[in-house]
Amino acid sequence: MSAALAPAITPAPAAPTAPGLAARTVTLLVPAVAVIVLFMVVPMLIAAGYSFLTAGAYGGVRLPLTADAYVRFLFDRDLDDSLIFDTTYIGIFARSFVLAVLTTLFCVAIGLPLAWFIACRERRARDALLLAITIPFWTNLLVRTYCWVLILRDQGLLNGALQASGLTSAPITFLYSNEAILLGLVYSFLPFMVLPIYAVVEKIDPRLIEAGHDLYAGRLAVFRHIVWPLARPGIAAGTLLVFVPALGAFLAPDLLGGGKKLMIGSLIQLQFTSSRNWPFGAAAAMILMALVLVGLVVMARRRGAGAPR
Amino acid sequence: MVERSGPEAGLSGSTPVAAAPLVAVDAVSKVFAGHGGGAETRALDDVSLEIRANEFFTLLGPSGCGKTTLLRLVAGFEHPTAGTIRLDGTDILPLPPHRRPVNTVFQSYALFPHLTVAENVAFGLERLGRPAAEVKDRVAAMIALVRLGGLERRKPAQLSGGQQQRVAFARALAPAPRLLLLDEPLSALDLKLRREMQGELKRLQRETGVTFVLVTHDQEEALAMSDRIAVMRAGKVLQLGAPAEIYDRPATRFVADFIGEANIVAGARVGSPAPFVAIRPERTTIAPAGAAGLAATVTAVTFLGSDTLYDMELAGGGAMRARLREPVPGLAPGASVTAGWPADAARPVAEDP
Repeated sequence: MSAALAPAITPAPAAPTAPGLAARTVTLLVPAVAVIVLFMVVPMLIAAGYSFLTAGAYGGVRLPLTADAYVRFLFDRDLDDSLIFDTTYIGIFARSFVLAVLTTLFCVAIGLPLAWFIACRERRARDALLLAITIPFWTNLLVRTYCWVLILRDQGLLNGALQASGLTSAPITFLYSNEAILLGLVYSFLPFMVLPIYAVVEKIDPRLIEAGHDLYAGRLAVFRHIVWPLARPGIAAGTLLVFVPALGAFLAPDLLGGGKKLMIGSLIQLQFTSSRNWPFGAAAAMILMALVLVGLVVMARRRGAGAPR
Repeated sequence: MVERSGPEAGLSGSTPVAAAPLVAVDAVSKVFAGHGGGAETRALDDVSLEIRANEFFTLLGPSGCGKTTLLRLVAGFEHPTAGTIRLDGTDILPLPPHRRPVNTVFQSYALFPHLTVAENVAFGLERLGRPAAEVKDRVAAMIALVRLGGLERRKPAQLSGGQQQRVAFARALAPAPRLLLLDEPLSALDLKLRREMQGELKRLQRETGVTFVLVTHDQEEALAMSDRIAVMRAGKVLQLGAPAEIYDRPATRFVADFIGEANIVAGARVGSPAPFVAIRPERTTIAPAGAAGLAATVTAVTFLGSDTLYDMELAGGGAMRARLREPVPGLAPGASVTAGWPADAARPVAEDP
């Protein structure tokens, strides 16, 4: 990198001509591009390469090149080696997608009012509440997710409390369900929704709210016509930060779903560990990335189209 | 519920002055609780005043005198600790801000940044549930009234300060409020634009016939625009009257000093039964030492072109200023003179409450 930087610090001509300026701009871009290539493009190329190789017997990959991993995603091989359409993996992707959408919706539903509530407090209360939002980051996600197991399991805190209060007589099974996974996902990603929304709504001038009330808008109308549109950039940022990682999450489905309700993340993780099918894991990761990219492009297009209004 | 006038009423402009007051503020006090056990603040102290329909009424006073608090009480953003506020004879205190037929022009305009000029102006009408066609006509009329034609589709960030100011007026006037509250609307503009907008505000008030209540600390602005002024200080109204009346016959020492310039002399020194007398510098005269009046020494002479200012120190203590059309030849700092005034120029004023 030092070699790449060297031309940039050579003395520039007194009045740089247009081509000289362009050359310097390119040179100055080199470090940033190098970082992106080294830490993003290269690992992804490796993963893409792995997805077209054959699985080794004890993990790892070997030649020859094949698209088997992608074929396996959609088809199962019958006894006579013919391909039959198989929805197992599509089902896993669909469940992941539904769970990620629900997680995002719940995070918006809880995060927007919460962020607005915090932004309306006095300075000291605001700082304390923001600190409370960030405290979970101080502990490992694995530990925090396992705490939910302790709360939700049959002999856990929740069932204990329910039985002690006489509301139920036998333990209710909360764990190992889609709802438990959803709860874990919302819990894990809520701060990623609250913080970007807070950053936006905190800047809303309180006089705009007063102006809304002054112009015959009740509380609901003020929220709908002033707070909501002004908070939208924060909601969009929060949606990205929640939806994408929720789609690839594997801790919550593993611990709270008991490994029975697979999500894409757990599927990929399994291929690299117990299943020892690296090409298939890499292919699943590639497919996930392709879906996310398509989603992002569609979102960006729609926002781009909506902007000049 | 308060009757809301139709949009036509806002543009009639020739409504006769009603005898009954439009707004009656009766014995209103407002106390703000202190922060963290600190002392509480009495922003308004037993204020009573009446605002007539169709007048340009101004609350004038230094910062912290309670004028903005009074405005916010009328708008509904704050609730008084004691007293009542009536609009058209109806107690409006139980009504939240969005149910009061009162609109506000905010100091910083508070335009909605995500809405265009036209959408900003339409906001109040849409919340009132007016039909779309009526909203469209009314918005067009308002934008024409404030002379912003052609800028309907701009966002507030794409407008100059003066243009934003006009949008704020149009937005607040569009629902044809019974009362338009203006919270130091011109303070963010530069001097030249402010003078221009003063004339503009008078025109808007004349053409719409809406009652304006202006809050300002700028006495020149108040004198130039108002039909009546309430001079406030420390949560109390010291004097209420027409601009000329307040200028010519200030009720208290503070009013005399705040509105224009005044020489304040203890009444006892000039043989007046009042605690103080106020003499305007332009009515103060300078005579040779020994004449009838107060003995003084000139401390400074300032030539202003049309006038000349003479600052004097009175022999018994205190300062006095004379503003003369014709400079006195040869009068320089250090000269002994006599400060005088015509008998009718000395206005008796009371001590401030």
